[in-house]
Amino acid sequence: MYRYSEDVLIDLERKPYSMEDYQSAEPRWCPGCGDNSILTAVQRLCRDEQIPLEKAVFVSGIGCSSRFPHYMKTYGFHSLHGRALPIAQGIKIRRPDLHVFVNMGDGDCCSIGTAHWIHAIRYNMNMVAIVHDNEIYGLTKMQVSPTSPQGLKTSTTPYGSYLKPLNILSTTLGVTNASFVANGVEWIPDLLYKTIREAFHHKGFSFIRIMQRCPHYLPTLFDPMITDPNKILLLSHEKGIQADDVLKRIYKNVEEHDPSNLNRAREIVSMEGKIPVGVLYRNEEIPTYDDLRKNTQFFSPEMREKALNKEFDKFAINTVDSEVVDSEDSR
Amino acid sequence: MKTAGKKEASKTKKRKTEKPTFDSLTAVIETELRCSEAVGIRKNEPSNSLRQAWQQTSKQNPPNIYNAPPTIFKTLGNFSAIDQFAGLAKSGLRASLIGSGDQIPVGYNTLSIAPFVMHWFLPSGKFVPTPNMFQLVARTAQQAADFSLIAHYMAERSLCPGLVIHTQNFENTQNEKLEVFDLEEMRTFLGLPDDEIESPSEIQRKYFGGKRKRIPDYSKLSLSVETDELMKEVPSFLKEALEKFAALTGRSYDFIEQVKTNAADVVIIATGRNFNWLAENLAKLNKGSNSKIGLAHPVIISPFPGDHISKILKGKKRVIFISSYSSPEYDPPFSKLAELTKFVTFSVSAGQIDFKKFQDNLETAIDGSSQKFEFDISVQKEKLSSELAHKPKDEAEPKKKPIETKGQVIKEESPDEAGTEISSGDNFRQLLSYFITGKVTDLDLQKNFGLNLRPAYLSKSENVLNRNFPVCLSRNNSEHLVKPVSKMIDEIIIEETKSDEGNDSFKNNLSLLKLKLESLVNGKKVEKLSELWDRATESILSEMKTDNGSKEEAQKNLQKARAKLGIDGEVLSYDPSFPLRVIDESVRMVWAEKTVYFSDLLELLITQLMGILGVDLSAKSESEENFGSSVASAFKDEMDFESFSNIVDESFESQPLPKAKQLRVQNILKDLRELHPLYSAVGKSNLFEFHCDATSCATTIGQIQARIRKTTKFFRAFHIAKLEIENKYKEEKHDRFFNEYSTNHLTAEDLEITPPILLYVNSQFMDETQLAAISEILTTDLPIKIILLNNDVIDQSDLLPDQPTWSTKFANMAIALNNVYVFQSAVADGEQFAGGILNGMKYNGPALFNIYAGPEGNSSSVPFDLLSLMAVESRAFPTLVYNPAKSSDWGLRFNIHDNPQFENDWTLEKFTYEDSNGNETSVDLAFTFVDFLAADPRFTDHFLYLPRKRWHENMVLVQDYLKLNPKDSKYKLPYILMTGENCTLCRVIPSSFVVRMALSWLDIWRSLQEAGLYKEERTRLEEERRKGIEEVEQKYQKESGKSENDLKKEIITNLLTRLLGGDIKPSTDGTALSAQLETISAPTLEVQKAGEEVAEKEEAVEIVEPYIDTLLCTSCNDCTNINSRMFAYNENKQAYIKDAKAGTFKELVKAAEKCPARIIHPGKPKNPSEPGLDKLIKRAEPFNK
Repeated sequence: MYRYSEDVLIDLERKPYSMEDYQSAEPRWCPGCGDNSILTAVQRLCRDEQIPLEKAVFVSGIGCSSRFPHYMKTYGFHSLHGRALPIAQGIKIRRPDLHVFVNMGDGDCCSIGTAHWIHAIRYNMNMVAIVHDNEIYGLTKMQVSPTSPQGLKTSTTPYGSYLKPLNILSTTLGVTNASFVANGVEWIPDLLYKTIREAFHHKGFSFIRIMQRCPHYLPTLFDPMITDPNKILLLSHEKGIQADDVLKRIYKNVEEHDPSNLNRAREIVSMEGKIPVGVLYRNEEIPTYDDLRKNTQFFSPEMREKALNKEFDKFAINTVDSEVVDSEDSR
Repeated sequence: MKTAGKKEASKTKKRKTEKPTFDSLTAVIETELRCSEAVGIRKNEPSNSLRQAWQQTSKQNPPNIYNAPPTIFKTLGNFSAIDQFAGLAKSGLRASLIGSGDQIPVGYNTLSIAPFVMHWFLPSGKFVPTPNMFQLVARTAQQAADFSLIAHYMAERSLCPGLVIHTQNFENTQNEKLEVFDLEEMRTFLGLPDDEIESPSEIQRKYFGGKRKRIPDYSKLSLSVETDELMKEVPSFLKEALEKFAALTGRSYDFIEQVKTNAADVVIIATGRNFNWLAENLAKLNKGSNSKIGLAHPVIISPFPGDHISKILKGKKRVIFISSYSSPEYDPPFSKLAELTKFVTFSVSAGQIDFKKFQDNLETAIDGSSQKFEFDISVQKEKLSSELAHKPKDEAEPKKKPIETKGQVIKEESPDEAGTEISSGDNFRQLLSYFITGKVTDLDLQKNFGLNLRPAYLSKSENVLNRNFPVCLSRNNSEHLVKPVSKMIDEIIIEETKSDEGNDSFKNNLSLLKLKLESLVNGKKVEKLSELWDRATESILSEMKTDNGSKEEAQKNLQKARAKLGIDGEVLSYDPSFPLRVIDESVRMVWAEKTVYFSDLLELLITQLMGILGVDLSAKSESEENFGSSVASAFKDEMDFESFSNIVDESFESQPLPKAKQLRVQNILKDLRELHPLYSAVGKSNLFEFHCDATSCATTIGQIQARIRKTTKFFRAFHIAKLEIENKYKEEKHDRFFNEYSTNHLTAEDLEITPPILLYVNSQFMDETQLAAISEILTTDLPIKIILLNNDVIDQSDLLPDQPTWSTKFANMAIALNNVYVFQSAVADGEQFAGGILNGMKYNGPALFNIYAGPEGNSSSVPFDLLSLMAVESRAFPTLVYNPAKSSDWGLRFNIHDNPQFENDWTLEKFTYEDSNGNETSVDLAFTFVDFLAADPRFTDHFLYLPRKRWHENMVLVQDYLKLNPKDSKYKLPYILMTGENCTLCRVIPSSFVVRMALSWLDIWRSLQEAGLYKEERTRLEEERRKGIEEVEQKYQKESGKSENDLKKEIITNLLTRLLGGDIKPSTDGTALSAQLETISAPTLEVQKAGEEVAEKEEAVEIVEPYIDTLLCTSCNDCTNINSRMFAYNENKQAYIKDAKAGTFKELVKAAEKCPARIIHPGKPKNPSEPGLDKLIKRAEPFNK
């Protein structure tokens, strides 16, 4: 006998969300800014997963990227520079039913927020962390960031930056409990969407680094990569992202990389000259901190009150109840 | 039994023959069988005694006044029985129904003008008022027999139905010698139903005219007659009947039976057994009392003989009325009596009356100090059972000793037998007449029934059984829920001896252990396997001799084996409780698995809902006092509680929980809590159980329907709870849906966690109305598991032999419903049984388990487990599984492969024995249904042992006889082989009755076979078809002389020549064609060249229409900001050209230049009059490549 599924019941007469439902304000990013692409991809994900507006929260730090929560009609938290991750973790512990997204810039995550970044990876709480890597501090009008290319002249490095840029991906892959690491580029919208979708479905800390253009300060930085498809290494696999034939024709460098192969992932990200695009590493087995610390009991208000009273009674005698509670230290 | 032909009857006539003894029950049955045309009992008759007495007596076929046996009925259900008999009576038949129990079905309109008689055995003495039936009360067996006749007479004269009540409790009744059963007397007294008589009264003349038939047939007429009017005439007919009866038989009765009432001051009115007791003790009572006591017994209580009673009671000092009701107001005569006189009531409940107590109370009653006595003057509070303790006639026979044939050679019967010689032809005729009629006339043969014989086949089967039981029932182990202990030991042996051949001592020790374990298992205490094993080991070791090292070795071996015991559990031997334990355990296991997460979720939901109710903030207005009391007195003065209170009141804007919401949450909390215990009580499966017993099947079904309703409400509450907790419940939308929530709305996930309902039914206690109700329940797809316990393979109504048991019918019906899991099995193989049950419990839907548990109180010489095995092998109760979850292919769902030798009609086994010459012979012996019945003590009359000297050459084994067609079988006799006490092999002839039964059972088995082998049949047919097609293909190829490829080539070349303008010359070989082709090949080159040109031209074609590579768009808004009518976003927020004419070419070029992904291609300008086009075209060039 036919029985319909439960979801039908809950969704009785609810109108499906469209992409516009998730847009709260017109973005004020520079025209051509890669953040637009990322915003579109995330909105498309929300629409495809039909995430209820009250069930998502976007947490950001400070920077151009961190304007993100303002343009999403969900819950949002525009927090302090570099502190997006601990706040996101707190939200997740307290409200495990919410989908948590973290938007950070490259400076936000890898400079001031490095400590939080490393430990967030290790805690492996179930959320999606996106680093909008434009290799510059854009909002503050062009300063060098840890991922800026060597030799870049900025206000803080008038003679060119001295150091080689930090390799975000290899750093992430080197931390214990890293469970999902992916690299994306914002000028291939289809792949970008697929990467973010995989990250969303992964149970654990999904870290995506998205290389985006800053049309104002570094307009030609990624040109070589955009115009020469051979510089991109497309990672295609059924367990990661399966690239379709069109993409494979354009980007001839395709590697069938199994995301569970950590060693190969590390090799790939350490390669010079080629940018890997796709899911580098994925491991669903790693326990998440929110699961490990989940309450097995639900404390009803009465139980809470009772517990609190018990503690308070150690400091004061409650004469309202019929039994006078004698405490150890009453003064 | 009296012989016919006695004309007059008087009291003084001496009957020379010995009067047989009867009790009321048999008296009634015997009388009715002789004088009625249609007699019956209810199929679900609760009283065992009645059923047994009925079965035994009705089989004897006593002579009948119509010279034709009465039609015997067994109706189903209480009220349908009444209706049926009313129907029979209205069709002109003399009909009577016999029943028992406290629930007398009366009071229906169908009963009007239906002259039938109902006999009711009512040990409790609780009469019921019957305004449209007359009631007589019989208190002795003689009266029982006589009143049946009188009741029929009255019913036929007055055209009102009659009820004769018998109140005996059979423990106390002696068997009386009866003076009855003279057929002539009966015939004279009652007459025949078709006789024409004169309508005896005014009213009847009005309705029926001057003359009518004794029992009129008005089945085709519709008459509405006032029963009141007819009932008023009953007393006159009673008088008539009594007078006539007295004249005929000499026994006279009166309306009221009186004992010493004339001289008495005090009259006690009592009925039935109360009266009997009083009559016995009257003398003693009179002695011990100052007043004179008399007794009165109303023979007729409806219509109440008011005038007769008042005549008797005139002038008496005190009247005492004995009632069997604890509240006598319910007793029908009570109110009538109250109209006549003042009286004192004694309520007597069941049991023996205490004489002393009665006497004391009697004195008080006579004194008149109290008007009503409500006390229980019984000594032993015996349970008022609806069972009439009727002793079956053969109970005294001792249980037959079981025959041991294990390990002994079976010898055929020897031919030396002294005795009278009889010719072969005569012999055969006698045997044939027995076969056909089932009766023997030859005295010599008459003693050959019921000898202690056993089917020969059984000597083999015992070995099989010992391997199946005892079993180990291990909990929480779904793979090996039940495993035979011997199998476990065998596995250990195999594993151990695999590595170490020649380790015989290991094998021997373990075999010894096996035997020891079996002997230690007793039914009373259930022990764990490990404990039993240890005990067995100890006992073996203690019995062994200590001198050779074998003891140490044995110990070592046994310990090794013990360590290899993978599973532990309870050890069960075969007994009727085994199937129930397996069911219990599997339900528990499956349910625990399913609800492992759900019970937590449920508790969470309940707590959260309570939280919602607790959040009614308006109720919490903190007052000053509350604040003050929560702070220690030392600091009270320093705080301003008033302001605290004000702040709290202000900040919590009173948000009372809306009334509707509050009500709703309270209701769903209640519904959730209702079924909550079922989810948390993982260990107790009795919460799911419903039992159907003799009287309460309808009630149980009602209970099940109530549970279904509660389950539906539970899931409704569950869904509302989830919505409420998310605060997503919108009354406008959801109310409408949830107000109509019914069982159909349960979702697929809900169905998985619906608590199962287990209905235990014993097949004896079901009737067709309940069957219908259960089938209705089965059509929903809720997990209702029906456990049908059969104690008997054959339907109790052995009078209708060709019908399969209704439980088989039920199984077939359930299969027809398509989504019911059906498992039919005798419990011979514990493992397979457990497997079937477990799969049924796991199935997310209704299930029917049809289990043959063996007869209750087994009185045959065959033990339980053997009977089960026999039932399976003889196809009396074949194993079948219909599992809808297995596949959508019907053939794969239905499985009979667990039956032994399922391709054959019967199970065959090689049977070896020593023939009369001392040679060893063997025969392929089948265990047929006839053999199965041979072991059943109820059918002893149908199996005639034939001594060797009377064997005839036309005798064939039953298995072969059944294969003959009627023409060939005309002069053949079937026989079966049975073994006797000295291991002698004998031949036994069954009656045709039994052979007929076997045929119908074989038929059922064959249809099951066909269904079960449907899959194999289908594959076979497909194979045949394929082969057939292949053959045809080959034939064609041979004839045409060409292979497929050649044909293909020919066709293609023909086509090509046609296309390229050539002439096709029909040719039979390919060479000429290819030559033709060569000549036509020239044009192809031209075609090729033309193709290239086209390709070049294409390359030179430019982009004319503007377009965007939408998939590569990064949604940067640049182009949409330039012209939002020309450039638009699609549903994925990627740009495309919405309307190329909506803007200028300049805008297109500008957008193309601005686009960071460079995916805009402007194409050619549409409007040639646009200014600056040349420059624009040049700018657009790089984007148009």
